[in-house]
Amino acid sequence: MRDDSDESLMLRYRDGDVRAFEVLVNRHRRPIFNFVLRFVRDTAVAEDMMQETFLRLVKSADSYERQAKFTTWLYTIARNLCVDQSRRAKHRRAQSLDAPVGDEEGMALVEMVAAEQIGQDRRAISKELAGKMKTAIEALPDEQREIFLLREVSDLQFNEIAEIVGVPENTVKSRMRYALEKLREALGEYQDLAKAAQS
Amino acid sequence: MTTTNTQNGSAESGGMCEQALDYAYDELTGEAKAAFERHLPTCARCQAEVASFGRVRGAVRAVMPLVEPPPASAQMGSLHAQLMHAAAQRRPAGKVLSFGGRVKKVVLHPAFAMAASFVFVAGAVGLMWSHNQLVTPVATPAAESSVAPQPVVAAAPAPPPTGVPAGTTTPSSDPSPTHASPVAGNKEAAGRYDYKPEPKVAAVKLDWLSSRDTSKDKGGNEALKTAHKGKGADAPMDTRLDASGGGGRKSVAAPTTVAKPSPKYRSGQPNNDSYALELADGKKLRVTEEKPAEKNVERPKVSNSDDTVGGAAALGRSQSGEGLTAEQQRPGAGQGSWNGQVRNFNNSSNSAGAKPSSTRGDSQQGYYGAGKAAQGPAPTAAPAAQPTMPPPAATAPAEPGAQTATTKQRSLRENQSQGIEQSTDSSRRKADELARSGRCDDAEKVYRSLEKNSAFRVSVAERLNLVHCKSQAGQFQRAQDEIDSLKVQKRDSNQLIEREQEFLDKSRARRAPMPQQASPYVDAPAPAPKSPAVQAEAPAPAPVQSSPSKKSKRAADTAADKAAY
Repeated sequence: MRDDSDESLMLRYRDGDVRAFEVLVNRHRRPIFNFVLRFVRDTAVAEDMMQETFLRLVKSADSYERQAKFTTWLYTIARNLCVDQSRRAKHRRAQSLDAPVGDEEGMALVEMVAAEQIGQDRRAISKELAGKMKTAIEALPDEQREIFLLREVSDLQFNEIAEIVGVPENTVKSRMRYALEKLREALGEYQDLAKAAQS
Repeated sequence: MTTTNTQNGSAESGGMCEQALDYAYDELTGEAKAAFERHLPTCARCQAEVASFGRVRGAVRAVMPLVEPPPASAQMGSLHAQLMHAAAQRRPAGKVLSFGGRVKKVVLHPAFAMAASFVFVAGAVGLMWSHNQLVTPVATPAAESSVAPQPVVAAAPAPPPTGVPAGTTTPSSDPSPTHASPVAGNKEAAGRYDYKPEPKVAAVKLDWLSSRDTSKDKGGNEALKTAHKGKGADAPMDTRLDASGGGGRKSVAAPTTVAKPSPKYRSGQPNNDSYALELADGKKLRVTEEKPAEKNVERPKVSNSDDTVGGAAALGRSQSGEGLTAEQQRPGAGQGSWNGQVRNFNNSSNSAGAKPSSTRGDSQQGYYGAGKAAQGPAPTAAPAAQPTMPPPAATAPAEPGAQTATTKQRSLRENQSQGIEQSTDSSRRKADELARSGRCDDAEKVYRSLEKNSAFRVSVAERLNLVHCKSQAGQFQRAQDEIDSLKVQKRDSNQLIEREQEFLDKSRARRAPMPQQASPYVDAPAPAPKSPAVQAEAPAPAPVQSSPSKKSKRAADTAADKAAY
């Protein structure tokens, strides 16, 4: 069962096999959580949204057809939830202009990433670079940011992203180019640091 | 960036430079990837783009690695449990059911049961409605009378001794409403007052009374008529008068008895109320009144506890002397039966009593309560001296009968005291009984109390009953006053009143002693009758307001009576 494709698992779950659904959850909960986390930048909200994504999957299981790719369908649900959440978050941010820029969640995430993947001697560089990247990604427009996240975090292909977002593939690529240009400009000052971090 | 692809001046290389992004994300496959790899060493701009894309992606992957969701947290565990519970609760979409499965699913649904019940009830109601069976069971008079049972008093076969056709006394099954039978009312009047039926009077004025008296006809008048036919010279005076039909007077038209019991008798469970009466010969007579479930409706039955005969027919025989001992056939005994409780059996009660005011005409106004309220009660005559007794000499030895009558009257009084408060109908019946039994004052009191305590109005027939009673009791002046009042008030009932006037005149004439029969003053009181009844009231020479023809008629009657004596 673990080697079955997502589509077959989903079909089995549609027919009543709960274990197939459990396999799907275990298979996609990490990328969905990361995508949502990068999108909403809040761990608790990301957990709730991941939960909500799979619940919607349960509710929509009867309407699932094998014609569509499972990941495309799943990320479409997650992306829609993220867009709604982003709109609500923008509304809240507009109401609280005095809130401090940058939150502890992001710092904790950076710290967590640095602790796991980066060596102790590069912690300071990574911390500074992560902050810069976080700021640059947040500064991206939503249509560019979601495409960037879907491509970089969820590792979806451009045609899948185009299907999820609902725009042509060339538009996706164009937006991706713009997003990479902006991030490159933001990282221009820290190219050396980036090279150091990559090494 | 894409615009810089043409820096080399090659359109082909510019098209290849568009694929730098795909190459950076490794989305080029096969020939496209090989072509771009051939192009890349020759294009510095593509090399710069691919390098910059690589650096950005490297930096992003370095600072944004994939993060594991926190499985250790209790919240995440609970969320996962909830998620799996929700997934388990979901029911997979079922397969398409077969036709039987669909039917079973529909039939087993509670809504289907409710709908089926509704359809069933609605269908039943509609079916009943279509068959006119849903009509509220209203007791229409015609329908009820069509199923009227035979009256109890008429069930006992009473062969008329003097050749009265049995069919004339057999209650018919006239389906017409009892209160709308003028013939019956006239029959009642005929049986009591010896006159021919006149539908007009009864129909216009006495419709409800006639209906009430119709029930009396079935038992009382039957017995009365039987007694009329069977009595001879010893019979009471009034009955002798009635029986003298062919002798120069108006012939008594034997009324066709159309006995229609009250419809109310046919419904409800009877509530029997019986009491015993002691006859003159010491026999006990049990009177049973069946009271249906309806209020104020009584149905009398008569049974003789000693004799094997029962019912009013037997009473009729007892009145006529048939089937009785010599003691019973004495005038006193017969009188006791006639004026006493026996007449009570005739009152099978007032089916029309439930609506006295509505069925009576407007001309029937309050009598005792309004017009005659000032009239005081007349002195009560001695019970033993019934006014219908023949000569006083014959009355004196009838002491046992008088005692029996006293006993019966006592029981009647007890019954009256018990039942007068029950209802207007029962009180009316009691008053009627009292009037017929010769207790005019008591009857008048009852009528007054009725008029005082209720909306009851004394009808013309009841007033005539009182007149009759007073005439029999020798209270000629009061009877005359009553008749005069009726003449003033009741022009439509003149014939009844005239008949009662005739009866009064005859009573006056007969009350007069034999030596004074030659007196030209017919209305002159008897000089010294030994009867206490005559002593009770000294009749004043009341002016008789009658026409000269009546006077001549009265004189003729007096002459006939002289001849009889």
